Amino acid sequence: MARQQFEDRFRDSLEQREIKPSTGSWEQLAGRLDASEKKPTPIFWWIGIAATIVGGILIYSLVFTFNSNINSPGMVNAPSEEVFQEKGEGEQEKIMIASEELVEEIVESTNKPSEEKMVQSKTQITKVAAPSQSFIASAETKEVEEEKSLTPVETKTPEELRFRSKLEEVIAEVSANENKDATDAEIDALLYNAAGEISLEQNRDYLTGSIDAGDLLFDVEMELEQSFREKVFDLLKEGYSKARTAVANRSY
Amino acid sequence: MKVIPLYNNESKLIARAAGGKREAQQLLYERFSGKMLSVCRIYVKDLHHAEEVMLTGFFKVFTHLKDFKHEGSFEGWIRKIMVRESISFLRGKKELEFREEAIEDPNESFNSIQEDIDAEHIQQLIDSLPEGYKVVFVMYAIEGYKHHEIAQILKITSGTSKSQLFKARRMLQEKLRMQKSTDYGTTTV
Repeated sequence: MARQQFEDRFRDSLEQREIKPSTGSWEQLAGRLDASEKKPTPIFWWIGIAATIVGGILIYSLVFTFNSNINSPGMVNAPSEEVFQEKGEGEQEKIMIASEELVEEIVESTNKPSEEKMVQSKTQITKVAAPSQSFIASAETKEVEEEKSLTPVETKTPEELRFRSKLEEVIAEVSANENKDATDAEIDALLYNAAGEISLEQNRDYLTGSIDAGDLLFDVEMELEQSFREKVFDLLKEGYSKARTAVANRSY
Repeated sequence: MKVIPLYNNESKLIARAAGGKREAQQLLYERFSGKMLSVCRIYVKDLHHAEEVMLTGFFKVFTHLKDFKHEGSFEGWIRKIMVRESISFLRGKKELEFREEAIEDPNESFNSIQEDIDAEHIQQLIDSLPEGYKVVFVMYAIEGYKHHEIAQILKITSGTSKSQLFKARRMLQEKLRMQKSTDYGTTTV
């Protein structure tokens, strides 16, 4: 399609035309140019500095937390159970059963209901990592055994009942063995068996879904805390390297 | 009173403007803003919007001045930027529509328009065209783009570009004829 003659006349007329811009148009343009020139530099530098500071804080917290977790003795293999039971008569029982590698302490205090007083007598069955170093305070176990016949009035969870029953069994067996002059090795074996049974029951509860929700939540939170730290650390590392690349590649 | 040195050599002026010198940029702006506003006004009906488009165009000129290769005229380079900005503005307002229409006689001549006509009158005629016809007509007839270049910029086919131009020419011819008959005091039936 060839150009028409009238189009040439249109073009010539319009090319000669000039329209004067409004006053202040240059100032408006200069302001936009100033704003565009100020933007790039500070932002990239500040992003880099902020990423460096945050990354350093995260690294320090991760390293510090990791070291503190290593030094903590109580959370290595099996969960430790602490059961605190408070009864209406003032009788208190504090039972702590840990894994085989940890110190096991069973503290029991009893109260004579006839006197309506809080009488605490401690029965300690303590076992450390080396099986040869176990000992039992024998004189007071008989008294504990008598009081053991009291049924718990306000057991909070089924696990408390389980630990209590296991304790009763062990104490009963120990008492029976005492009459027959039981050796330390036999007592150790009883303790081992009781701890193993408790661990098995915990695993069964886990598989059957009857474990305490609070314990599960605690375990999950510990796992999440580790993986969340790792994720945050990875994200910050990635963001820092991107900011560093952007600073290096900026062309203005 | 601030004395602004005059740079007769346009290349030096462009180089200083590319280096961010506001005085040089202002001189270039004052030298070309009148023509560029006229270019934007051809595409954009409203003068205020046309000035905004022109300022946006100059913003891109000065921020990308280092990309000017000195291969053609500086004015031509700025003018291309203004045309693109004007088309972007019209696209943003969603006023550009192109319809595929068959051309009855592609070689039809419109050279019956003989009288001289001033720029304002021409602008009024162009403003009366639909946006799609107007943009293609202006790009072809005023700016000198080829149909394949128009098709690439507007993202249409060459055939659509030709049909739009044909329709624009016919409409302009019709309007001029009506105006001519009105000027004579008679109306054609």
